[in-house]
Amino acid sequence: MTALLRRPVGAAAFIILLLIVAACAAAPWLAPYHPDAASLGDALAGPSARHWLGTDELGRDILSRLLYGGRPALLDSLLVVTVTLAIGVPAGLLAGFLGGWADRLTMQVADVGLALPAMVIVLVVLSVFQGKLTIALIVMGILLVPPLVRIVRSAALAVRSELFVDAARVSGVPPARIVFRHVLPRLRGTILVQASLVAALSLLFTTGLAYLGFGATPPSPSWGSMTAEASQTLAQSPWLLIASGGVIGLTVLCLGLLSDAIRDLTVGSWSGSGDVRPRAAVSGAPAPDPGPAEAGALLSVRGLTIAFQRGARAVPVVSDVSLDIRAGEAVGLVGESGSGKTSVARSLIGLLRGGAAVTGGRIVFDGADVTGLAGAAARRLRGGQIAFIAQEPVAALDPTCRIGPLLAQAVRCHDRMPAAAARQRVLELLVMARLPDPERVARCYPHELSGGMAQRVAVARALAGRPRLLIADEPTAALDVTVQAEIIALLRTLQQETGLAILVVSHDWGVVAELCDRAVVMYAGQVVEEAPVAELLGSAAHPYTRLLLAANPAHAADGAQQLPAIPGTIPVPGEWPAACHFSPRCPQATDGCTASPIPLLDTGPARRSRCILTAPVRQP
Amino acid sequence: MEGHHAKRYFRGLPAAGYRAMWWLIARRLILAIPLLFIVSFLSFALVALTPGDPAVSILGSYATKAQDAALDRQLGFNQPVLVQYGRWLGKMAHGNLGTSLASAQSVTTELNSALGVTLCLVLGATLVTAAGGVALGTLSAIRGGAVGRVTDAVAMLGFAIPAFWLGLVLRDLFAVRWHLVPATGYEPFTQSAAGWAESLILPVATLAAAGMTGIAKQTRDSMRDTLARDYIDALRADGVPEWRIIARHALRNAAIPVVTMLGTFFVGLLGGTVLVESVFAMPGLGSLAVTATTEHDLPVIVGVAVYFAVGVVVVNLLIDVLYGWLDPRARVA
Repeated sequence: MTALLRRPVGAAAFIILLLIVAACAAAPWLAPYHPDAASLGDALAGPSARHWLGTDELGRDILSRLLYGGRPALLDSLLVVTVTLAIGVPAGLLAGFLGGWADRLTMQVADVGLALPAMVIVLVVLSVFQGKLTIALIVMGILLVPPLVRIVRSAALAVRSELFVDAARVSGVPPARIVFRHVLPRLRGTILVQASLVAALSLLFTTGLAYLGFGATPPSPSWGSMTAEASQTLAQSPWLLIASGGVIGLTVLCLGLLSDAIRDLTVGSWSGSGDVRPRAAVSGAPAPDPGPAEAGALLSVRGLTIAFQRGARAVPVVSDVSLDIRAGEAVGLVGESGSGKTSVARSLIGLLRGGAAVTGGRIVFDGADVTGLAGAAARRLRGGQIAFIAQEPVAALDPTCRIGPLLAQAVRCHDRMPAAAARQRVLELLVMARLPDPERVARCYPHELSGGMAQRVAVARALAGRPRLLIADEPTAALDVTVQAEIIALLRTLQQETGLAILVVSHDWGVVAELCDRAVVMYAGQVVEEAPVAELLGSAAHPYTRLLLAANPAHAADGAQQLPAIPGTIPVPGEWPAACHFSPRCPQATDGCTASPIPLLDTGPARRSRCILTAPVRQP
Repeated sequence: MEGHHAKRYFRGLPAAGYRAMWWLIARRLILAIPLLFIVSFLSFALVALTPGDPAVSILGSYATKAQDAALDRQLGFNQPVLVQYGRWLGKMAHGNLGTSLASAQSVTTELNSALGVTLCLVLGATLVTAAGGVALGTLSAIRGGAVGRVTDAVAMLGFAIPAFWLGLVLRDLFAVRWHLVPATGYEPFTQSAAGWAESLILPVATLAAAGMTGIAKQTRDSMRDTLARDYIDALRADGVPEWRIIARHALRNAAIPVVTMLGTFFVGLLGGTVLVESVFAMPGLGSLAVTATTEHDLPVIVGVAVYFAVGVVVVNLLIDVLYGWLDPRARVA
């Protein structure tokens, strides 16, 4: 309750609602006139000091009639809500808690109930029990039960599977007691949300009935019948309509807002408020000049810095990363999750996620600056120059689109060709990816493929635009070991056959050793070491690389030996140590490691390391 | 030749897909039977519970006992309810829903003459709601920020404003004050196409107002969820233009959860049409139901209930087909 009052909209709705209900309850004391006191001389007057909301066609005071008219409207709704909750909550609880046949039966009945046209059923009841509004309201309450049952049931199901309920059951607490002592209190929020929604619906419903003339008998007022009266005199005075409809709308609005506020409080906001699109620019300190791109490299990254906006603060996730990939070369980008390696990979094709953006540095592809490319130029780059294979092969496929058309679309984005030619090209691509029976695969939907097939499809898809660089983000992480080997072999063959350059992002040294010529090791947003793979495996210079190699399953002798884990955890972005990012976890750390930032220095031909313990080798 | 060969594999559902689809439809039809029984039997059971004699309410309090009894015999009210229900079901199978107590006309004739109005109204409102709601929701998901907040606010207002009140306001403004369209009544399409369209504009707008914002909100949330999926980024990585990603891929995926709520929406629409037809004096099924209720005309009101129930069954079937078409995974289950 106090939490609700801290939400301005919810609190305002709650207070207005209370005021409306209190005012109607206190109508005999508050109303300035008797609701039926006619005064024909004052008929259809506008608002004045004597009649704050004016008068109707018989000169009756609208404010007084609204106050009295709220009583049947609100009491009717209260009856409907009571009936709905009294049936719906126990039924939903039992269905969700008991499961089995009770659940199936309840759901079947609820399904049929959902399809009943409520308004007409209520009219049937009213035509049978003429003038017996109470019976009609009870029926209406019953008709509003099915949606409530479904929601309470799924909430009860969720609570049922929680540990404390199991614990209570195992320790022999009777089911009824579990439901009332443990489950029901947890569903309070859900039930309150639904109760205010049902109240809103039933108010609309009962005022609608009253409008049709099936409510309180005239001349006693009700909000719905006042709206109907207002329609007769609309041409002369709109005041009655505005007041009567306004008060219904306001009450329903408050109930709806209250329901939303309670939902936000208890269930968590479901109408997402975050922007899906990344913010255009994140401000940050300008990075130092990253130096010239390497001549002759296919891809040259210099001083790349990536940050995301957290409130008013720009939090760096990648800091001053430089790397080069030559045509036809395979490079591994290695690190634990959280090292920033995926951010680097995604930034190369401008597909950073979660509001992250490149804030410094340059990405040069084939001599052209492609940093922050947008629009048509970015589309030509993506797929056409640089292809990207995501980590989850099935999640990367639109579940509603067959493989054939999906790949044909990718083909036609880069090569203008007739549809028939594109189809032929798709089959060729599938053959290139060594997919057995490519014609059948083209016909498949993603859910009909295995993970390994989906990854082969991803490879075929990546080749659609005849790219020169392929970025594969953990291409084997989601696959079985045997399939992993096949995919690695496929990538290797393609690299050799087509001269494709490959950047493999991975935490798995096995993949890197199989596939790559060179590896770049990242830790907490920085490159910490770079070397030819063979040298790295044999003589890693950086303490982190050595620990990472030791922790890799591929290097453990035969599983009997326990893998040495790196102590501690990788620091989250924004909490990086000022000097060496690895120093808090480094077994060899000295005072010098925490004094000042450590530069990345050449330690041999084509080798670099960011550690004060690795003596820099002077270049000739 | 090779192109032609490849082409086959890109078109049409595989045979297994068709079979699953038919199963889905068959299951829905089987589920529809209890629904129709419940609606008709409930209506009939209620008649049995009627306090007082239907004949008395038809003939008025001045008729003699003999006259009442004669009418009861004539209408079959003196027999047990189950017998009455059985006879009524037998007749219904032949499309006979009895005779209106008020007008002495065949109920089917009366209902069929009103059906067209309600169909136009409900179909029009469904089209406007779906098209407008999805467009608004998509725009709000893509643009975010202000558009999203406005959609939220309008959705809440659309939910809160009673349909009959909105109808009255629209009627007063556009028909009575500005004379842009006729205030009340319905003109059949066969008489004048322009008149037909004009007579439908306001009622359809009124009916669509509440549902459209609800659908927009649902579409917005669903679209946001979809746009954050991996396969959207994968399409961007293919170099597919953003508009095409939204139009061809995101919209279809985002529509799946929206379609599942269309059934409930349609049931609500049927309730709304009763009020809206009443506001605009449209001679449809809703107006017929209201008159029948005031006149205690049971065969007619039961007939309307049956028609509406059939409508819900048909719409749920269409939704299932649409759902299966949108989501290939649903065809397998």
